Amino acid sequence: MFENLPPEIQMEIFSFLSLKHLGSIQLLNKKISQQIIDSKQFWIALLHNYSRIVKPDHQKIKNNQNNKEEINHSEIIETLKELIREQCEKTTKIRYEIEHTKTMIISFKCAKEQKMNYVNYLNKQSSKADLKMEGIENEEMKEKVVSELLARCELFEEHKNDLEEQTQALQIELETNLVD
Amino acid sequence: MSETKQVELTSKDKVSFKVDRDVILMSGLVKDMLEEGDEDETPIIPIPNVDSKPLQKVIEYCQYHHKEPAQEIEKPLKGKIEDVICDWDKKFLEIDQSLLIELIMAANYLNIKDLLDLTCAKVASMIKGKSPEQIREMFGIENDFTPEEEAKIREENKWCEEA
Repeated sequence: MFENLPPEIQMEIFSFLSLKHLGSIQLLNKKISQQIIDSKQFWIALLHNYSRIVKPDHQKIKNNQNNKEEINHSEIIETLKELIREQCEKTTKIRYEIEHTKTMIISFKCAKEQKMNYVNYLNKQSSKADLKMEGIENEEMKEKVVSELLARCELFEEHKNDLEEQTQALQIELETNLVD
Repeated sequence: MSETKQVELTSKDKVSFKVDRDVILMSGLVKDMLEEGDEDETPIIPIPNVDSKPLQKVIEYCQYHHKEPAQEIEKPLKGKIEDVICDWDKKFLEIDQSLLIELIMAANYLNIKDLLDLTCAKVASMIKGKSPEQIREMFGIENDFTPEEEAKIREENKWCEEA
């Protein structure tokens, strides 16, 4: 089982874990805990993993420790603590930027909504104006038709009177001819 | 047509496996042994530290990955191992814990770095996010700390919980 694995392989496995697991793996049992403390391979890997993420010039940190014959735990732990601090600062900065961007997005959304509401209002007003215009146009048309009809009625009336007069004249002429 | 050169591997439990030479050259140990021997023969290489079951898995891994090189697994692991490996490796790792441990030993003995990384990362992934009690239970590790010693270690490691 796990305990049968050679210490260097156990350390290789632990080197895939992040720093926050250090407490858990040191609590497994006394033998494993001591192997972790004694393993230069493990501490160098841990330092390398973290400095690679946090510091671009990580190779220098790794080489500094690699060149030393004995593990200087307090120095490594101090470096790791420093890396954690830097990482925390970076995280806080990123969090602030995220919050700031979120606020910006929200205010942009509000402005967009207000603009949309105003556009809708203008659209409604424009529709109302269109209807009004249509009404006015209808009214004008009606008036035109009525006056046209009235004019035709007048013409018709005149025509009718003329015809009646002609009829009367013809009747008189006819009666006169009959008497003769 | 020239025949593919083969190598015969014999496991600890005396099971023989014929493997293409190109395939098994992924093993640093076998490579070194082959360089010392006669190229014309089909060499028989004893693997006295590895049983047939894990050896078969090692061959399976080499047969696939000698043409499809494995991608490096980044340390520390981000998320679960299944998120960073190919589908073939995911299926390959669907094995019980004891075979996984034997496979780690075999990869270490045969000096196959990619397989060792893969299997170690798998165990790390199993540990990830678990409490010491859960890890002990999973691997059958006996706790020999007193409650006071445990409290002291917890206190000493508080600083790294922020990471």
